Amino acid sequence: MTTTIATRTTRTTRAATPLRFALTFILCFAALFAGFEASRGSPFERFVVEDLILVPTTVLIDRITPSEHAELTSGRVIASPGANLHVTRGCEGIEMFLLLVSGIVAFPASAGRRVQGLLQGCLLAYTLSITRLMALHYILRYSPDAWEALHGLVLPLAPIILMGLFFMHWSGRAVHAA
Amino acid sequence: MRPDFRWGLAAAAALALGVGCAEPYARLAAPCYALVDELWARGHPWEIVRIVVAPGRTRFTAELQLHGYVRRSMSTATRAARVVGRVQVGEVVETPLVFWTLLLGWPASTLGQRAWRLAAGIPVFLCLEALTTGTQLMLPLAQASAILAGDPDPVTGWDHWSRFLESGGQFVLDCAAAMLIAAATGRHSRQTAAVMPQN
Repeated sequence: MTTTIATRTTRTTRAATPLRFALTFILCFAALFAGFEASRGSPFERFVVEDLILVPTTVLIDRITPSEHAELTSGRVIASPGANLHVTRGCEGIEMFLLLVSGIVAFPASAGRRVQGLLQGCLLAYTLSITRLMALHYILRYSPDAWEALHGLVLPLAPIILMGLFFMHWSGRAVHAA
Repeated sequence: MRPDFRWGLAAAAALALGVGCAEPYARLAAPCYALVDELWARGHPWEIVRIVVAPGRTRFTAELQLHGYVRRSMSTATRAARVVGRVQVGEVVETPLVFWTLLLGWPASTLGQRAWRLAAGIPVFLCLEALTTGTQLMLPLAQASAILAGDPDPVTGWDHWSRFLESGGQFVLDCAAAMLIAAATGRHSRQTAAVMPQN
């Protein structure tokens, strides 16, 4: 086994580090969540959710399967003749970005490493958000029997787990660099 | 094996277990949620009738459902509204999957250390269940109370909490709780003092 940040700190600091990380992680996530919730309905929120996530998702579905004739309708529904995916609050994939930022802020690392982690992580989170919504659309369209297991558990949790694995990888590299 | 591969395998196994066991787990845990929600309902004009697993709104889903009644105030005996709280069984199993996978998968030096974590994890896990699925089931009761009080479009504290959980807060709470227990029951060596296990 090797160590992470513990190797370069005192015993007292080491003992406090997991607690500090967990608390900072929770507080930072809560602050980011509150900030994003406060922006609900604003042009910023519409830009992030609709222009950055839902529109590209719909375009990709339409490009990959032109027969779907997918379009984004009002009420944030990715509509096609065979399936109407209503993207509700909390289903847009924003949580992955909030988790990523909170984790990177809470973990002790240099500014450069943080920026690197944020850029790489945001790219991954963005890809996962769009992939997840596309997967939900196709599941609803072609395999609705699998909807329960995939929508309720696998597709919300699997991208977050992948983000967690990315975070572990990034934090390990950040410690080695230090 | 590299830690990220090991955690990836553990996560995949946990997800597969969750897919297979979500509904049985929800059925098994329903009486516990009923007990917890009875506690949450204290001090409110809410009555929990039963918590059961039932087919959802579409034929593709199963839900944990809370059936209850809301009175206008604590002093009145007449039921004013009947409500059903719903949580998909897939969401029900999220807390046990994340919490126990992380806690039991965390590197340990001895079997005794794992036993300590298991023992410390049980009460924390029960609290997490009360704070997550337990509160999600209660949400319609709070909304009904607010509507009965004259607010046609209520956003209660329960709504804010529910939105927090649904926006990743549940995962944050589960992870933070598991991490704190792993740290608290560590072996006072440099391995377990680290924020993330990197063996």
